[in-house]
Amino acid sequence: MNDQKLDSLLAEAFGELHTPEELAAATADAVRKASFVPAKRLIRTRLVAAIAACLVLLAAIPSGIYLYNDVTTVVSIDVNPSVELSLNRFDRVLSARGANDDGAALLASVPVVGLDCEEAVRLLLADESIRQAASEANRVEIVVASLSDGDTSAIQEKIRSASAAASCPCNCSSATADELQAANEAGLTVGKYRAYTALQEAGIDISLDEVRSMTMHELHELADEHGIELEHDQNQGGNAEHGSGNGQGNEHRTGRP
Amino acid sequence: MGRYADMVWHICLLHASQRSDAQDAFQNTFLKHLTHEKPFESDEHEKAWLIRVAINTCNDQHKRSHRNDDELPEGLQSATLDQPGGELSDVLDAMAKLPRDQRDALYLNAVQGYTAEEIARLMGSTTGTVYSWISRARARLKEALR
Repeated sequence: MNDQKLDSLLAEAFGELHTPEELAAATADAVRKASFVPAKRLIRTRLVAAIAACLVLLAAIPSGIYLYNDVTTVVSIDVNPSVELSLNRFDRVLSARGANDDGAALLASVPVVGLDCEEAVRLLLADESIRQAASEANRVEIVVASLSDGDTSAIQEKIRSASAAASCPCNCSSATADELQAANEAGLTVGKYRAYTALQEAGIDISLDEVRSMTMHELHELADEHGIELEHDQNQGGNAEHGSGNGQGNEHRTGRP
Repeated sequence: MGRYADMVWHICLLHASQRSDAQDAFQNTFLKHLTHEKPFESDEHEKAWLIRVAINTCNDQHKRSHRNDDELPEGLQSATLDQPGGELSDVLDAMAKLPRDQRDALYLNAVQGYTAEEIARLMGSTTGTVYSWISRARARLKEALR
């Protein structure tokens, strides 16, 4: 049997496999229920949206539209806790999410929404939970991703200043918008997603849930055990000298048998 | 949900050790689709997103249930066809016996028409590895169907 015949057979076989009607109906029902918004919440949501729209219009006066609420850059901080900051074009934090439980707890105690990213990163790196984890792991990974693949060097400079002010060294690198999207779809920060894909490519069986629960130090230890190098474009902040990389986030992975 | 439902169902069947797991993964995938905030750039983008999320959902489910990696996807083996026991059943049974990565790669290539490079991006692997998976999968299927 040649490849074409085999592929044709496969296409025909899977073409006969349809989603069971009861499963499709149950799923449609589940989706419908999940998308239902109670009337009170809908009214409140619409009111908040209307107020936000007015604020955007006011911010647009006298000329042009400032697009204050557009997310242009995402900064992910990984040591465990893991957090992700969404910034606007003015480097202000529009939103912050914890990528794991420790990250969520950190953000609950250190509110950073509305702050400039340098101040936000300084406050987070100065928090006891990060300092303790950093001292154990000796590694805080910060990845900066521009949604339009723009230049992130200015933000990386702010992060280096913040880590110096917090006396908390970090490895800072950049990522592409595609990497960010892939990481979000996997439910991981970019730093952890890079480690996950590198480990997977080297044939190490590890799940996304396991990666989420591991610290960056543990992921690097696992990589080291299998002879895999996870090297990032090293732009160290804190007490180290400033790096000279161009922030392209190039990784060099090697796997030894 | 309609346009890509069968594709997501196939992926869940390719991964799940039990049919009930495939059903759960199918539903969870479309619930995640509901909560996806950013608009998709195109139909192809949406399709690729669903494939990645379906595979990740199945993998997470597999790990949570501590199932053995060697367990065959029972759901695929027991899939109902118009002609059970015929050539089409045989090819599905043979697919079920392939290693997981080879199954995914061959399905995405032969049934969904993705190139090895596209599959490498979807599965977080390299093009060379994907070519290898597809080649080995085809060889094993041909041997099984002789």
